[in-house]
Amino acid sequence: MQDFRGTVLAAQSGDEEAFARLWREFQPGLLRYLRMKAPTVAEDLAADIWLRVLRALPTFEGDEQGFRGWLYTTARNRLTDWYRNGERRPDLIEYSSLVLLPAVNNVEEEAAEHSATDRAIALIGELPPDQAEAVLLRIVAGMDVPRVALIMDRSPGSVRVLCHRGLRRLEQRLLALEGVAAPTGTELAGVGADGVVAGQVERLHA
Amino acid sequence: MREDPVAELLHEAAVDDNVITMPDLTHGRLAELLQAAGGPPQDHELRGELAARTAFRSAVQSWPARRRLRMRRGPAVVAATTVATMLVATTSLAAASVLPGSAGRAVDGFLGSVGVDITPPSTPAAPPAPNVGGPSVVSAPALHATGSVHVGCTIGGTTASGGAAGTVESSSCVLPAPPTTRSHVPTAPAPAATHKAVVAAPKAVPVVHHAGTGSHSGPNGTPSTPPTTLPGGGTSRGGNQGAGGGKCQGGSTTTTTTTTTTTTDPTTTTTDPSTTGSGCGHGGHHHGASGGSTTTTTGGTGTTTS
Repeated sequence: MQDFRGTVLAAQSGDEEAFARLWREFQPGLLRYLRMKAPTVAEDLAADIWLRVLRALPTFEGDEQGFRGWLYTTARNRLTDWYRNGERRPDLIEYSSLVLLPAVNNVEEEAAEHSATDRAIALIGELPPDQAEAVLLRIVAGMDVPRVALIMDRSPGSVRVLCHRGLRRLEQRLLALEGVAAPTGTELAGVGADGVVAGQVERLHA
Repeated sequence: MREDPVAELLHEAAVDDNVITMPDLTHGRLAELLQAAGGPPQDHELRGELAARTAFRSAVQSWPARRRLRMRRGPAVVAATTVATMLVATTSLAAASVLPGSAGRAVDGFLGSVGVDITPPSTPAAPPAPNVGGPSVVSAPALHATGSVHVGCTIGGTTASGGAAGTVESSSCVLPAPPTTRSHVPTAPAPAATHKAVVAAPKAVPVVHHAGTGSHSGPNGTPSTPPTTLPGGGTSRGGNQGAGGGKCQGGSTTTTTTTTTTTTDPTTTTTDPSTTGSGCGHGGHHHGASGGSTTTTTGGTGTTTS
């Protein structure tokens, strides 16, 4: 990010435009990370994480990597809270009520929105959690190995190995998919829901 | 900023961990996938910007004021602070006639352009400087009944009629002349006799005069006891004299006798009507002419001589 330090200082002084630049720079990566971890509530969690960042923004001091590390550490902590508090348990709805509920989304529109980025994130999400997180923090969040190691509470060597193994799995996955027809828009509509994409891809294999 | 996170990641993946063979780095699909994962922001990912801005505005209100306004040692702050400090210091030195002649003239010129008159004490008959805040004010000191020189103060460019000669009720404030002219009481409205004044703050201090009563209010509107005088034999003029440019906000009459100069705390105001020889009870700096002026007491740091 250009002139990160100046942007942060301006935001700390109350400059809304400066904060908007920060938000536009970091929000997409944060959303992708959260969509991998908690696809159904990624946007809600992202909003909550930014609230926490805003509360502590006046006290932040550091460079861009430091800010990324702070942001994703906050995200991980929020995710941990989300898991521990049982928020991930879906509400139970009686089946007969489903037909009475209006459609909350437009499948065609959602399919159009889901681009190669979303498919890529979904594929990375199929990896074992540690490998997926290491690859995502390195690629999507744009952090270096030491920073990722700090966030994941692992050694830098361990992070490198996780990335290595994750890439290998992805490569194998892609090779496996090459022999399969491209998924349709309807099948892509499930991207983002827990395990839906993986399940549908598996069915395509069969 | 990272150059190419994908290339960096693929380069790191070349490390053989002796368990899994190296991935095929020439495989285009993997590189494409990783580049897609880290690609530019999409429209639906930036949908929440408005809500984020709203949250920011709310958060700013809850930040401590000091932090909200903090500009951490920005160059502009440093420059502004330096300029302000130099201005105050230079003005003080000029008023105390410490500066060399050329520097003093330069300072006089600059301050005169902003409405502050600081003329050297050696020119008591110098014409009044342009008064930015209002008409020049000159008033002659009146001979007090007791024989002491009584001078009044004029503040804020207003001229009060004052009382008859010899009365203390003058509401014009004139800096007393240097001791050498002590026995000489000019009767004609003299041009601004000089006074040394130090403007500690550029802010104008409004003062209300009640002609004839000899009272006037300070900046806070509190009526103060008249008359007010300024030591030094000069005339206060201009509007921006609240902090020591000879503006009086009360206090007792002054008898000028000796020479001292004092700077006082511009933020405090005291009046001491019972003290003879005390100067104007205002929180400003003012100095008598060098070599012969009296000092004033104000704030809590001044000294009074009589």
